[in-house]
Amino acid sequence: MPIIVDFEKQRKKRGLTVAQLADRIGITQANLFVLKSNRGKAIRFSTLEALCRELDCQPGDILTYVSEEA
Amino acid sequence: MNTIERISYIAGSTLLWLIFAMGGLVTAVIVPILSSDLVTTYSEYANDRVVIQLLMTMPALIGMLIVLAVLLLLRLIHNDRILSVSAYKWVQALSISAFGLAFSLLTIGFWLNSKNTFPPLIAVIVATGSLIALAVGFVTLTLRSLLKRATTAIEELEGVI
Repeated sequence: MPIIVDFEKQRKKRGLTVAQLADRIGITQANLFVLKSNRGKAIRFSTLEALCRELDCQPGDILTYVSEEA
Repeated sequence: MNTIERISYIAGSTLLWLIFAMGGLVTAVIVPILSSDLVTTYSEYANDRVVIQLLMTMPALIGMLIVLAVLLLLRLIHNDRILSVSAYKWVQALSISAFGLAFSLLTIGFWLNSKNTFPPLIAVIVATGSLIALAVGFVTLTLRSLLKRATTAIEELEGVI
């Protein structure tokens, strides 16, 4: 998947555990791990919005496009 | 699942089991009696006991298979598992059975015709039955592809976090 989800830097900056973050954005830890390991097929705008709200960041801070050719 | 849906499921399943049991009864008891009755009553069928029995058993057994497939699909709907890969094989079984039923009815028609004992009423019943069975087969095939698309859509939705 050329879209990489990486919220670890932001999460550590906020001092949140994965469990706390999952709880705050209203998804299961298992799903947060799926996102974290880039195994998710798609992300809802509501999940992205909750991530940005809880991590106090912009979507661009946690989503990166990496060309598959690279 | 609300009360009406639950009652419909129970009533539908009960009726289908009843039809299935009736099919079993027809195959095991009525077909042998009827075939021996035909053999003794009509001289043109004197040597065709086995053929008559086979021709009458075939649609009854296929009909039972259709009822069984519908029962299993109904159970999958009840258990909220209709949009899963396991539903495909039963829809396919339903479709193949419907084509089989059409084929068996047409076989009866051709056999009666070969014996020059094909009354118009039986011809109409055989033709109508075959057409309905063929239509059910083709519609089921179409619904199978729809089921496949719906299952893929559900799988994709489940992958959205």
